[in-house]
Amino acid sequence: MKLLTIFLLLVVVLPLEAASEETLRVSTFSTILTELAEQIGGDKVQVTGHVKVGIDPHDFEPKPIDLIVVGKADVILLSAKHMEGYVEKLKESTGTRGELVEVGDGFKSLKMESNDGSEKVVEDPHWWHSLANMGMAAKGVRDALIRARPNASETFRANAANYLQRLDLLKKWAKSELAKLPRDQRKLVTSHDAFQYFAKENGFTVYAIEGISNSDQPSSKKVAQIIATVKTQGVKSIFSESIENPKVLTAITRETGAKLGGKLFADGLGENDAATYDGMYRHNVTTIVKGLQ
Amino acid sequence: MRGSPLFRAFLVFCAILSLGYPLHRLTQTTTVADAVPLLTKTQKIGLLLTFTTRPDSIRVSHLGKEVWSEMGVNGLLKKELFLPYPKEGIDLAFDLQWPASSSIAAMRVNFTGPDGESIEKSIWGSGDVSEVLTFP
Repeated sequence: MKLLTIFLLLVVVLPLEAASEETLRVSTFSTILTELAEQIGGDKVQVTGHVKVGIDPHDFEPKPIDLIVVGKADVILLSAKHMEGYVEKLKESTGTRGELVEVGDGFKSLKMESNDGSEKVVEDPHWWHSLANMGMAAKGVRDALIRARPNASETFRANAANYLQRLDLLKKWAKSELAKLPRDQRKLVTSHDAFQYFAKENGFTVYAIEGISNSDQPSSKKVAQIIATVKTQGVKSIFSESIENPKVLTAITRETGAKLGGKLFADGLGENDAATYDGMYRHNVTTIVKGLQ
Repeated sequence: MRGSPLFRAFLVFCAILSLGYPLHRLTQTTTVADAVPLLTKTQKIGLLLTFTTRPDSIRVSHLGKEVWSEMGVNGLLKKELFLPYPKEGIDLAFDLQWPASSSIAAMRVNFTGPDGESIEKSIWGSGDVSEVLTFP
């Protein structure tokens, strides 16, 4: 065990030590932020994504090895809006030599009722499903990198401008695809409540079976409400997500006759066509349009 | 109970049969296919288009289908369309072809909804431009 720990430390820490003085060390805690840091930082940054593809960010807890890497980082990027419950632990245990940037706190939150049966109102942390928020996040990351390495500002500005241009093209494409769906049919029934930002931007109403996190379990009352909604609103498809157990969804489809519309990427990037933000967003839009048409 | 065994069996059969319909009503599941279809009423909308530079062509689509097109535009364009118009509003896709040589051009869209209220929106661009506008 000791040998394994030493080996892991060497594997993770040595490359960091070897990074040149000019290379900015960036630690990120979401696959979305990993992409932003890599795309905007280009060859001027060395990015460590602590939350990997396929890991549920709601349940992620940093390991000692993550804390070592964060301790050496120049910039630490967090999703914020209460996604990282361990943020205080990060600050305390690492001393955070670098700047800790809570990217999601740079723009307005959507609030929603908690799904735990209480009257509690919680902040929706899934801000990246809004293209407008992604644009602001890209600018926030660009500014954080410039603060940390002002002499590379030209590169960061040019890369960010390029990324923002791609977001504009994506926005145009999405608008044109979604225009195929009548506005009164834009009812999005999903397993967990992750698409409020997407819905607000594109005129959808979300009916989520579970709460903000995948680990929230739906009450039988909630399931009954969703079944009634699907029936009365004539919802054609309901959507599952990349990280989850679709048992409840299958039961709802059996009860209502609605079909399973496919998997959406709710908590970050995925694999294959969803390995980039552009790919993930296109996958979600295409799946929704196909399912509800 | 009086009567022949055959008659008694017939009465029991009738009693079971009479319970069948209410039992079926109580236990059936309504599916989306059975639900009342949500039909959106077709209503009249008006479009008045004005341009800074005349486009070579213009095409307007609704729900992925072309609803109006014009070639060789001269001056302003006016059109009445009958489209399904839900309370949530509609998206209209505009595909314009401005002369490649022209600098940035604009089209002003004056939209009149079924209630008679007008909204104005603009599209800017040069060359081939595709944009979706949401009304109201």
